[in-house]
Amino acid sequence: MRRTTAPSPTSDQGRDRLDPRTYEVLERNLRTIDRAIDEARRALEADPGNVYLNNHLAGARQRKLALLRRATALVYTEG
Amino acid sequence: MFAATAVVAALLVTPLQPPAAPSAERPQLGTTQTDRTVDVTRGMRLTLDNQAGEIVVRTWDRDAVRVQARHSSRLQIDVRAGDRSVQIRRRGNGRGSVDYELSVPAWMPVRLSGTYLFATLDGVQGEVSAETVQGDIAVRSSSGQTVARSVEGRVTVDGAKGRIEARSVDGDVLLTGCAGDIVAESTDGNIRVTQCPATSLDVSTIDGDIIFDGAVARDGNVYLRVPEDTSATFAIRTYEGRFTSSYAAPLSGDYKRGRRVTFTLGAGGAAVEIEAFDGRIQILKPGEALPADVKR
Repeated sequence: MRRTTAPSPTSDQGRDRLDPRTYEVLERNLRTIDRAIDEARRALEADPGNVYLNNHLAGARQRKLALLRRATALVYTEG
Repeated sequence: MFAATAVVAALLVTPLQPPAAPSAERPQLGTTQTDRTVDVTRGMRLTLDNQAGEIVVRTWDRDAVRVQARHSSRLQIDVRAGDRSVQIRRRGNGRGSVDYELSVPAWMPVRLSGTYLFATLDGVQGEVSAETVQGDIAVRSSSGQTVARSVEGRVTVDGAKGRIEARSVDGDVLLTGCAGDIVAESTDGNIRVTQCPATSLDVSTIDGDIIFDGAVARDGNVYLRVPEDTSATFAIRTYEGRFTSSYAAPLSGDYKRGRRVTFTLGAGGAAVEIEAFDGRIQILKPGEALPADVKR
């Protein structure tokens, strides 16, 4: 059985398939989410049992996952 | 960096400012080159994928779909009514955008998609779904489930009822006069919610401002301006910020970092939940000034 590997939206292949403006927007927004994740992670290291921080970090990760899924779908649509 | 989530129920406050003007990039409809009308029956839906161009959907009182389209003369637009759906497809070797004006019965569910698509839907009572990448979406007076998503464009929902999901990645999300269960999300754009008596309202952005019913969130700060006759229970939590209120209502407990506290105005009928990771949450009375650096 042949398996097809999905091109990552942030890979060179993904970049080639997307409109440059869309690629830049996606990359910039992923960086924004990553900064939020880093902030939450640092806060959680200092306060590991904090339920709010755990939920906040989970929410930021979910948002990144949703954006990556959308970006992957766009790579296929526009490719 | 800002990250905030708010859940609001049945809260009405004075709007801060009208929605921004439509994007200047929006194409204009011109001479019609295709004009077809097909009869439809209840239970059918309309699906249209338009990679580039505009789609304007209006409702009328006929059980029929009229498709008016402006396009290259090398293109043909096929309109077919099957058992369950109306399909609209382009044929031919011509390139370029197609602009559509569609008249549909109000009950008909409509699904639109495209990459460089600008979509406007007015008065659709069936399920609405519109997705684009580099265009704006405007939905007015829908009453079924409404899903509007753009990556780079602005999403505007005006006077809609029911379950509403409005999302953009880089653009603003603007909701005015909406009611029902509302989810509004952007990563880098602003979210503006005005005069929305929602049964639930979930608003979140990471790097944008949130303005809802007089409330403003900016750079981690959330400012909520509410009328003195508001009847609502507020649940507040910030991790690195602080909370202040111009109302004297007592808190449910000591305000501490990361701890959820509640207070009630009036009979407490509505539920307002605000969380901000690293900013201040401030409840203001009408007429109280926002800080000077808050973007209006």
